Amino acid sequence: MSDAPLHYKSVAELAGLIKSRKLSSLELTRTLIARITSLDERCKSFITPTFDIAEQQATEADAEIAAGNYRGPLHGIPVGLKDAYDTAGIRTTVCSRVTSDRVPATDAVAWTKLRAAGAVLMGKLENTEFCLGGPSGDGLVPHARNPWNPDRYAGGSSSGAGVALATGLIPAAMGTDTGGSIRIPAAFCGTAGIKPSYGRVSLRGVFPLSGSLDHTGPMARTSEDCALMLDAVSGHDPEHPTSLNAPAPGCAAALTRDLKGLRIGHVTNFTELSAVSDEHRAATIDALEVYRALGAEIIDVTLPDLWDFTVANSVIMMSEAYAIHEKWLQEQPENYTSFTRSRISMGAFIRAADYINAQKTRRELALATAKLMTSVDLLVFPGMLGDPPIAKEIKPFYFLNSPLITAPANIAGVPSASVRCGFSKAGMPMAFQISGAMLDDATVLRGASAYEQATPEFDKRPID
Amino acid sequence: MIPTPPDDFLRIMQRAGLDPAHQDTDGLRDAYDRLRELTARLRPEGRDIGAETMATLDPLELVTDTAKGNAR
Repeated sequence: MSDAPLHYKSVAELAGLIKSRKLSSLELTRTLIARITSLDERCKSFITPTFDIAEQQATEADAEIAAGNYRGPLHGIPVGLKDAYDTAGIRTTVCSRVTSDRVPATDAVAWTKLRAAGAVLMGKLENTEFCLGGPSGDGLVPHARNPWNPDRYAGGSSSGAGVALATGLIPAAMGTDTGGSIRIPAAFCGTAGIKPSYGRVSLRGVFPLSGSLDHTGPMARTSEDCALMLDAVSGHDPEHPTSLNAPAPGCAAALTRDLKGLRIGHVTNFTELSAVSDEHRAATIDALEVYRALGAEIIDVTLPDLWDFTVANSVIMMSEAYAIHEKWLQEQPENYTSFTRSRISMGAFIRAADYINAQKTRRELALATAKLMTSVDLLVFPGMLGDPPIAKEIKPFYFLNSPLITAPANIAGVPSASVRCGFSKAGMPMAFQISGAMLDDATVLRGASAYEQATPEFDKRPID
Repeated sequence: MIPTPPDDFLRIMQRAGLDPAHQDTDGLRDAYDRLRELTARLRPEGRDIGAETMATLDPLELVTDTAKGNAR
């Protein structure tokens, strides 16, 4: 058991305390409610707290556990949901004025599964508008503040989740990821997160951005906790067309500290990009040395040009987003933030031929990735190009002028996690990415967790 | 001979019903120009057009094929 205060303990630790009845879910929930009430005015990570519901669900969890009906490691654990997840009877805005009064009648499948596992809903978390916008300062709610430096971007689009986890407001959350929206805030806030294999977690009841690239997945402070969450939300959903009908091996059971025999491919053409800062490059190379010490074999490999992944991702995403928003953009453009309006409008300028070529390029890139994964078990490369940018300096189309290092996993559909690996000279968290073969989320989280266990010195917190 | 259109960008904007009063038109135009440069990457020489089918647009099939490591 770590000596971390209750609000910074991991899901795995909290589950042990709750199961043994050394801690009640209600006590934990009330501790976190007090912390959110005290800190979130400056963090801006929640859009709709659900404290009454949380206390009720925690009370129910405690009663069930006392009666001997312990459901598993998420029973009684408080969680937050990005505001893109439908929650029956609870306002779900996707942080836009366009949908500011939207109250779904049903729950997203992922929340249904978490609820069945006994999780407690603390509230809906801020995200950049429609999972695409940025810190434009003209949104329905203020953007979540990076707790390591509030002038810097917290990352998007699952920004509220990254901030709430980093500051100990909740131990676990669900985010979405179309081009990096789980991994970017995880990296910029110094937490953990995994974009699972495409189709592993149902998208039903999650507001879409780009159906062929959208993923839902867990965020937490440790990769072990992400494994516990992913095991709970995985599975085929016959009622959603993108849900994959394939076995999803358990992740938590696969976690081991010994990585002997594991082949890790270092994606050298990503690490060596001039766009990657020296510090982030060095942090990634240092992480590979940790893996070598854990018994893994490190093999230099290359993937296709990162710009190919980036362009295919941007063209597909903007086209599919425009198809969703076309009518609203024509009827109520003033209700969008400036960033979202510009980014989605760009979809109107993409020709059908470009979209089809982007999908064909995607296929080629996905197959190249699959071929590479026959020679290694995991891929490691930088999580971000550098420190989080100053929020006020971000432009709507920055992603057309800088390669997106999170895009390859969305394009290929493979699992990819963000793993914290120290701090830059500016005091900001750094991260590397670890990706695996399609449906081998378990090995990705095994590798991510083993690194975290071997480097406890990086477990710093921005606020006590 | 197809006559040169007056301005592709404005024509598309009008056809799409994007109201200039609510758009950063200069920013959009810069992004449009940049996007046209970038999309040239999506048309590589040597792609086997005979092997292309609409099935390549099906994300599930794409994922399944990727998992199998199918050559095409």
